[in-house]
Amino acid sequence: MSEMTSGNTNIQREINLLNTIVNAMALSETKHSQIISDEKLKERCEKVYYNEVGLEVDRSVNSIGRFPTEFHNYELIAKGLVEYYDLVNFGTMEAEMVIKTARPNAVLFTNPSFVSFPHEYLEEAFDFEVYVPNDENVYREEYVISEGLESQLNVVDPLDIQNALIPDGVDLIVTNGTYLTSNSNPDILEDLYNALPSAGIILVLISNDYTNLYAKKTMSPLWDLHERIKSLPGASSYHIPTFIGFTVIIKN
Amino acid sequence: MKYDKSKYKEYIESKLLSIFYSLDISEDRLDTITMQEIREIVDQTYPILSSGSEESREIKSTRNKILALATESMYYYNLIKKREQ
Repeated sequence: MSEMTSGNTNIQREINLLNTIVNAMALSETKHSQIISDEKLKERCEKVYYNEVGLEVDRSVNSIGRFPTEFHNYELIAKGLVEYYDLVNFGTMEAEMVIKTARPNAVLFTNPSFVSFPHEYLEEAFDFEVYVPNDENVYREEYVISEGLESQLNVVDPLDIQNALIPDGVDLIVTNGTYLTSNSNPDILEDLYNALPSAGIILVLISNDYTNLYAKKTMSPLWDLHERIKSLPGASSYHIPTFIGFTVIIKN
Repeated sequence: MKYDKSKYKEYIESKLLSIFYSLDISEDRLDTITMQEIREIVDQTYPILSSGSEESREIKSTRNKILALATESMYYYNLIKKREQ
């Protein structure tokens, strides 16, 4: 027993989440890393961040909340926090792995960040139809980053997504925990699930509140979300506890 | 260009108005309210309880949902307004 305890302590000493992510990226070959270099990622974030700073939009803690929120992601990268690059790439790698394994006919992203899912990457990495909402990220891609280049992706009304009106042929929906737990439509999870065809998949990214879910357990809205996921009729679901966590829901 | 400002603005406004409705805030405040004010109203409407009870769990969960939705919606709504100026 004491040997086992000693062994566990050694394991805990050796595992550093950020190092694990860095190693995972070094051991993988992803389209995101090939298409979006670190320099390109930094340049994209700089353009968006300094554009918004130039507009004097309020970026105080009261406005954007305390770290981590999506508003901190591009600020930290724009300011050169290189450790953050692997974190972003790792999150995208998780999604890419599931999407390529699923081999869908068409995929709908409910809220793809311009940091993790650049249009250039979504256009090149996948050989099936990709749908994204008409939202702030499309504005950033077309007007701020590309400075006038029209997106080649299919753009849909975000209100349609919120009402679970998904394009014909979509059999994979990529979303995240925040979108599902803080949506104006309280039944968004169930509605999107019902809109999918048989064997359709919902991929929920960032589904553990950066591991806080495991510490606070039932205090997190994401705990409630997973209870709802397990109640979906005819669904198989799998929660994978990486640093940012993801959950796969398969409609049987 | 594929970005449609009017449709996106309509979407963001609908999200904000759903928050206003749940917090009993007048629609007239759309262009004047700040995120700080919304946080204060959320604090009054859903005060944090330290009991660890089921009630406190539900309140904390509801607070987090509203604040996440409000933070995102207010930031993007303010961005749209700044671009129009």
